[in-house]
Amino acid sequence: MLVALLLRTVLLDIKPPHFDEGINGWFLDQMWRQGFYRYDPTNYHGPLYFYLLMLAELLMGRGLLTLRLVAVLFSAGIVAVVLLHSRWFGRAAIWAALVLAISPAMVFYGRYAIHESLFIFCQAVFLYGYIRWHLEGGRAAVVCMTIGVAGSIATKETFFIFLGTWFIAVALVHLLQRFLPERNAAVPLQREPVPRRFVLITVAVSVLATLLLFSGFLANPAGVRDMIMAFAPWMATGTGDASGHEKPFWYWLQLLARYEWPLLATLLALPALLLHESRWSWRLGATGFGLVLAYSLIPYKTPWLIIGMLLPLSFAFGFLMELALARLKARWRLASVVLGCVLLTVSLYTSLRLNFRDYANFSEPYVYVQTSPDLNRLMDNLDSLIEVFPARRNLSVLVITPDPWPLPWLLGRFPGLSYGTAETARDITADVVISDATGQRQVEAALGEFYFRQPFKIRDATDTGWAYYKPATFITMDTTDAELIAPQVTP
Amino acid sequence: MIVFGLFHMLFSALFALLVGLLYGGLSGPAALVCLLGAIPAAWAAGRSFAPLAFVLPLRQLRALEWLVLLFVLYVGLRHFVWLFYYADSTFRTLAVNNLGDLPLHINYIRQFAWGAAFPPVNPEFASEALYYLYALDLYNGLWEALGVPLEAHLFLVGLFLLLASLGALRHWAGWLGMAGFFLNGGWAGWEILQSGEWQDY
Repeated sequence: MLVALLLRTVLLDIKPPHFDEGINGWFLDQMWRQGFYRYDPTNYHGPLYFYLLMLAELLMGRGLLTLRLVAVLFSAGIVAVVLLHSRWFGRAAIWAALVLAISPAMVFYGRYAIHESLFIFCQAVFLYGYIRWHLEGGRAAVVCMTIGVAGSIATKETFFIFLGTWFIAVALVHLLQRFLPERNAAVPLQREPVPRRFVLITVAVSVLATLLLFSGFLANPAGVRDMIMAFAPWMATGTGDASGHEKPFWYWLQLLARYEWPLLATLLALPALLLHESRWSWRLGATGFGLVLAYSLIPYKTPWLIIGMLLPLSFAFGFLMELALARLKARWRLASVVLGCVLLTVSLYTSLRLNFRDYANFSEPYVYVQTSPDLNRLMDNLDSLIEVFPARRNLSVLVITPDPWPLPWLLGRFPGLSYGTAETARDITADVVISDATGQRQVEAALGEFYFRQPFKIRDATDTGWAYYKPATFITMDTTDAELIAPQVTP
Repeated sequence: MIVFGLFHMLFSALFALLVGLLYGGLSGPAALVCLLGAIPAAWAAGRSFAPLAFVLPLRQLRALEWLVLLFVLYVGLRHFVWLFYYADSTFRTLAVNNLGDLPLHINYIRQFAWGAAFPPVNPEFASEALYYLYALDLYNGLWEALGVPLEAHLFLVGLFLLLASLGALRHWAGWLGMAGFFLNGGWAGWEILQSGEWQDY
């Protein structure tokens, strides 16, 4: 847990805000303004994450660290929930937790303020509840299952992929057991009975809470209808070819091969799990395989979706390690442990490299729609000015780019923020002007005063644009790599 | 828990008053000492006042009590989350009635947090003593001095006191006490019948 927390919290704000973080932050601003989260099935995700972000912002103030800390808590929470499985799975759960604690994807996306960590946390809680229900029964199992399902539904529309795959895996293992009956099956424990009334009340409370979240706590009743209607637009997004996120079938295997060696090895060695006595290892292994297959079949692929596959695969890794330790001869046992440790070491090295050195290296497939570090320079210029002259918070900022995210959230705290187009730009006198590459000629022709100019690239997919600073305002700015450009007099 | 919290507020404010009088004002470390020092005092006092341990026994609540409790909590959360927030480059508050009081209390809280001399003077009228009952602002001032965001401690203290009020009212007067106190809006609340709009902001 300490390793998981350290990897996720150290230098948490080192990465510039991601495109999606800007959008999530902007939605938060809207929530403060409107009083609720207006659910839109065509564009956005469920409301739970936004309300949690709102609570965090209330307690810790507005900022990138606040937003990211929520994801960090849930990402570390996944490791904690996996560790809880050690009461049934023993060291296999500890191996699984170790893989997840250092996995490059888990750490990288656990340090972003996006929905994924919460989503997978809910799935982990559901799994814990489901397994506990079957092995021990009890009220806690019912509560965990309902929280897991309700939380997943209220976080992302794709919850059915995980739940569907899980229940298909359960059914397949049930069928398989007819042909391969469980040898040395453990004597079933005395399951703690749960009153039916308790189950009904728990489910009713979960349903009510989900409806309240989607309806904006009754302020937007249409959100409940939209929750049900969400499947059509998301099916269209997932299977369409116009989102720009379409990837080949082998995409996930390529990512596993590049970053997640322990889990790629697990995927390749999955058939060996048939030798494992625990049918839970079969179910979890089949779910891992099923999720990789399901997400491979869907053309819409964004790399953070991979962490959903890592959860069941990490359990499979643990079961395989334990299988090797239990079944192999001493020499091969040692070799298995060495191999496992080498794979984990490679994973840790990749994680450190990706999260603390190459976090904005656009050649890394995990670095996806990432904002360029140029943004940090822009924000540093603004913050250092305001630190010296607080009244300059009222400065005017003009954004001239059709793809500005995450600027609308970051610059949203400036009352003088406005947007424009290069075509309509005339006599610009704003204190800061941000322009993309295509509008450079028109923007510079419209500048009404002298400006410092610094290159500003928002993302890898865009050409390098420019940030213009008015010298009279930015008197404290470091201008070592800035050019001073004169206003162009047009006849 | 509620009784412990109330005693903690009481002792923290008392200690803050003493520290302020002895050392001339509050500071971050002094606030930490007051808040930590109040914990054992509150724990001991809470044990001595067990008969006053009004709590919300969730398992014993009847349907009507649940209904009132959830409604008041819903409205209370709405009120305290949006008590002091930032939107459209402006600091705002949800309830119009707060526009007068909130700046006054923030003024008191920050005055204490920033080390005002004791006994405190009225920040709005120079050289006049502060006659207002300021214990709660002093308590909030301790959190402010520790660097807790203003919105956060206003929300947490407000929500805690709402729960304490619900617990006390339920203990002494059941659902009628809770409903009578919190739903006492007079005719103003019936505006929804005319407008048909659920609007609280």
